[in-house]
Amino acid sequence: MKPLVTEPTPRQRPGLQGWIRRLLILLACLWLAVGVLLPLAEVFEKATTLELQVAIDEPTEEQKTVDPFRGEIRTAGYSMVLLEEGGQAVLYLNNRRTDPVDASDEHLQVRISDTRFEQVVISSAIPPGQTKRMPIKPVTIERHSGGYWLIDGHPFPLGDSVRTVVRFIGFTNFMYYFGIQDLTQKQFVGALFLIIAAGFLLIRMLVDFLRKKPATVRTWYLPAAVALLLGAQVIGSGQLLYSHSGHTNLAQSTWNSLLVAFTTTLIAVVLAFIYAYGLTRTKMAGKMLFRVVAMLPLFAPTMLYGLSLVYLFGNQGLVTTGFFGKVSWLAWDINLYGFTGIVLAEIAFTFPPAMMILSVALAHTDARLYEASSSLGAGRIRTFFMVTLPGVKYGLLSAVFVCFTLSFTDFGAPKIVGGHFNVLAVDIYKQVVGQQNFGLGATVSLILLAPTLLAFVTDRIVQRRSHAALTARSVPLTPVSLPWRDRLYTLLCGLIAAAILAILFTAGIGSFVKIWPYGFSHPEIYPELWTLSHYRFEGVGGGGFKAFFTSLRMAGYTALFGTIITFISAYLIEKTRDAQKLRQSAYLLSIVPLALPGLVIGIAYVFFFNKPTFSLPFIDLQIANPFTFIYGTMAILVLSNIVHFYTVSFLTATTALRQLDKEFEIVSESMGVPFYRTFFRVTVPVCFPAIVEIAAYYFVSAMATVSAVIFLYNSHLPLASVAVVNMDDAGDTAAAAAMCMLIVVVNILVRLGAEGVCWLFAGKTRQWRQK
Amino acid sequence: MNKKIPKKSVTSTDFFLEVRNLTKRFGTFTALDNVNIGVLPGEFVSILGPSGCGKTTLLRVIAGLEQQNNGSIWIQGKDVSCEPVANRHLGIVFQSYALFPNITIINNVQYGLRQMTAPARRERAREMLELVGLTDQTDKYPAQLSGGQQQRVALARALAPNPSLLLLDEPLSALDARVRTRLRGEIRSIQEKLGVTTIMVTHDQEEALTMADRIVVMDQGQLMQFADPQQLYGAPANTFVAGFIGTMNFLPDCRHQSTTAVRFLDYSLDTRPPEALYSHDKTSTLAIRPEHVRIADDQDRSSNILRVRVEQIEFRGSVSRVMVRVLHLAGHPSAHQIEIDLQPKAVDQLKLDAHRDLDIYLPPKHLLAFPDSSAVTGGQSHAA
Repeated sequence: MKPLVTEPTPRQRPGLQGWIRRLLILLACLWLAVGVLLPLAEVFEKATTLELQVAIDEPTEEQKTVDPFRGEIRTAGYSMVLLEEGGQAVLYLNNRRTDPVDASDEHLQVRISDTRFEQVVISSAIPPGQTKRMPIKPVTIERHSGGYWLIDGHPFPLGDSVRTVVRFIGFTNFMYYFGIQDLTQKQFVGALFLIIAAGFLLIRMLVDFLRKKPATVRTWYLPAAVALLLGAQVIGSGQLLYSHSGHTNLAQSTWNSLLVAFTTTLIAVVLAFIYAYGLTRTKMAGKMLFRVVAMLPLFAPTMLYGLSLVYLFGNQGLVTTGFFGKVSWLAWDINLYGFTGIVLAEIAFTFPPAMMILSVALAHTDARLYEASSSLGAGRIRTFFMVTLPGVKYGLLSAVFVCFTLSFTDFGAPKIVGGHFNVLAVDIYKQVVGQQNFGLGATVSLILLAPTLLAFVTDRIVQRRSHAALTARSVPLTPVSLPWRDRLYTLLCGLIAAAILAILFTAGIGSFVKIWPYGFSHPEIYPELWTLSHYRFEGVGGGGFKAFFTSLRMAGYTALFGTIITFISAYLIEKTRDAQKLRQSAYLLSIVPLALPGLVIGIAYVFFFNKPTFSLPFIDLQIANPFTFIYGTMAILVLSNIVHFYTVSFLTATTALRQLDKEFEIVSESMGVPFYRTFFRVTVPVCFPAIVEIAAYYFVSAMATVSAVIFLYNSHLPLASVAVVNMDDAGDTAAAAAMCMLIVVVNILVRLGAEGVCWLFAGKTRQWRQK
Repeated sequence: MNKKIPKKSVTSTDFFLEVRNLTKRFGTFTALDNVNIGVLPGEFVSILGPSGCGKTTLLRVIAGLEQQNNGSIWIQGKDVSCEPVANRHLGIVFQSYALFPNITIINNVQYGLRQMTAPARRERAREMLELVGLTDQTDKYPAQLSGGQQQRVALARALAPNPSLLLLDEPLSALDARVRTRLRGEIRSIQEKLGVTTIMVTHDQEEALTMADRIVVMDQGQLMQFADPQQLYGAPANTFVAGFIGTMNFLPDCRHQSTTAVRFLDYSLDTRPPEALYSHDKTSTLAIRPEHVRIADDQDRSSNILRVRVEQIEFRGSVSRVMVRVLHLAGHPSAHQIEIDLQPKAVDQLKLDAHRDLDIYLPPKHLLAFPDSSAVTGGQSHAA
């Protein structure tokens, strides 16, 4: 009709409120970048680079008059000392007198003039912990006429004695780890890439085939040919790698860890399924009690399971010695130390989360499916496989991934009962804390990260699909009474619960026994059986009560700051209308920590917060690291804990916020009420139970965790969980058990406190909650 | 070329709210397609349409909750297209009430009154609660009230800051039928009392027809017609509006014979097709309301008579709806059905029952004609 001028509409201004919100979301992104991404990048860098220490020493003019010493350069496994003997320069290379001309070869070039080092070029180095010299980009050390040295062109004043030079070495560490020799890096990476790519394509094909997705090519032989080629590729590349790899103790731990994780997952998921099934689908007795018992292991550090197993099955264990020789026909040595012990402890550790996931999955089912199944004449077993299992498949998968990840990355239990059975998590600890070999430590932690990351990504892809499978109006299933089945499940769950209680509290009992086991077996020599002396932590390492109270403080700060940050971030991401891209990136960043094992966080923090300067990529510029000041303080402990347990808390907060009417924000915005007012006045009070839940989770987790903080604590800040490890290392098992019990008791008290607060809150707010 | 026209000169109208050339796309989906609306001060306008027609999107763009791709929103002669929600001085009421559950009724109502002193706030909130008849519930919490009461609180809260424009998004859809009917009248009378310009989105045509001064009918992102209820019912602009508002019988594929007559099947029907649309090679669709169809008596034996067969009779209380099938002149049934509203008494008198053949009369003055081929033109009508 009327040709109106259609000028593009200018964008709506977000207004001050909008800008504040954006700024806050940006801050959330930034702190996650500093707390997660940058440290992680540092691990990658450390794993693929070699750090060479260059030390130069030269005598002063005065010293020259009394001493033949004319200079020393130490780097990359070379020691070069220059002496003056009769007006002639004499070079000692690695303590062997060498002619400077002879000394120069493909690895090293030395130029000397006027009885002084003129230039040294080093083209190979030995990575720490390894024995083979490997080529590197040459390091040039030369004298500058201005009276100072140049290392790679950077001035190095005489007073400075050591300079670190970083060289990229790619996958050398990984190849060393798996004992791969006589392969170039290109061959190694190429073979690895082919295995991964071809394997991925094969799996895709298989999945599509199993789901009967129509193939784009409708002939059978083309997919078959592709599958054949891909399969050949995987086998060929694998064989290439295998034929060049040798057995290394390091690589052995990868297989050990995988073996532990698979075994644990299999057993723990089956047990958790039985237990969850009993809780949700039968009318067995004492459900409430069973539920509580299953949750108990969550309050304990994983070392506790190890310690209890030692008390039960260790060399002097209750069962091993047949109740101290009293019932010797019951004596049973299960060979605890090593695989058996680790798996038993990990089962206890992974059981509660698996049980929770499965009981939620089993509870959320549609009774109509079961009615349909039985009306169609399907039997129990058929119904189980056709209805029950498919209904919980996503929960089952989640439980499998959680069990796998937790047991694959756990540090505490293998540290106590691992014996000579090496696993990755303990290897990292040994490399970093024991041998100070950071490069290899970083490499091992990346190997630890890989399966975890894979499980995480797969789980997220699968779970996204599960939303579509949910139906809106399903009828909840109420279990019917069935005496024989109910009794069977009471028995099974009772056995599992008894095992949990045993694994939790044997160490507790042990902590009160003066001298285990002789107090039992030789009462005539040790008349005093029970004692509280282990709780005094006298004469043992680890920090005793100071450690315990530092842990309390750390857990308190973690709960306080973690809850605030988590809830506000979740609120901003969930309840902001615009700034979609920013919110999506913040959400993604918030999910990442779930994939990171505590050890990786710890080692990443050691690298990142220790690093004095960053070199910016592409331009030769160094900037000071502004975050180093928190290293060695309470702040870094708290930060590592918040990051470690961030995602679970974040998802709890998000779920709570999603239950709130999304129009609250719009209504207050339209009335001109600033968002923070509605946040404090409405959002926080309504979400209060979830907030308490998050705080309790942070506290309990921070108290019990050892993996991240074991790299970050120091003697001023001893921690209870680290003290457990150290006391056990020193053989003070009873004191270690005592410390574990303190942690468990505090955690249970905190949990009860949280329940109490929520109960009071519910009472006070009954009026506005009634429906 | 396209110099910016000074914004004041464009709004030489009396419109309180004006929506100009509004287009909103979500990806490839066009939710609003060049929509123009002008709302007078104090008017109650309802946006009506089937689900997915873009009516809620229109409301959200007016409120500033969505950013339009093109076009502008003017309130009281000011371009507010770039203003955030807070600067548009709106009161919004949602289907979900969105009352703050942890705050008492009185505090909910005074939530937006921050500039006033505490006693003044309380006074205003009381006033508002009196207006919606809930003075005795002030210290209760929302969950303790019924749905209808909660929606009245939401209304009071939206009105308390004295908004220039009240937006209601399906305000009655969550309520049961009896409460809904009562609240319709209440909302309307409160709106009239305060004289606040109001826009209400609804999918319930009865709600729109009974409450609104004028109704915006939308379909697939386009404005179909913007007119008062009588006009919408009596003179729908196109077949969509005709079919959407009330019940309508359509006689499709009518060929034009002359300026006053069309051919439907074998019958010739007198009508007044819009002159501009008259053409020999085009077809029209005729439409007539069930209540306008008559059983033919002897005086009518001239034209506009159709031979039909009764198929079904539905008793609906005040009227009976008779479903008939149009027969060809030769006596065999066609594919077309017509619904007729008759007094139950008349049905008895005529002894109508299924399978009876009879003649019906379609009065020319009630026969509406819509051209077939021309696409439905988006209503550019600002006309009040």
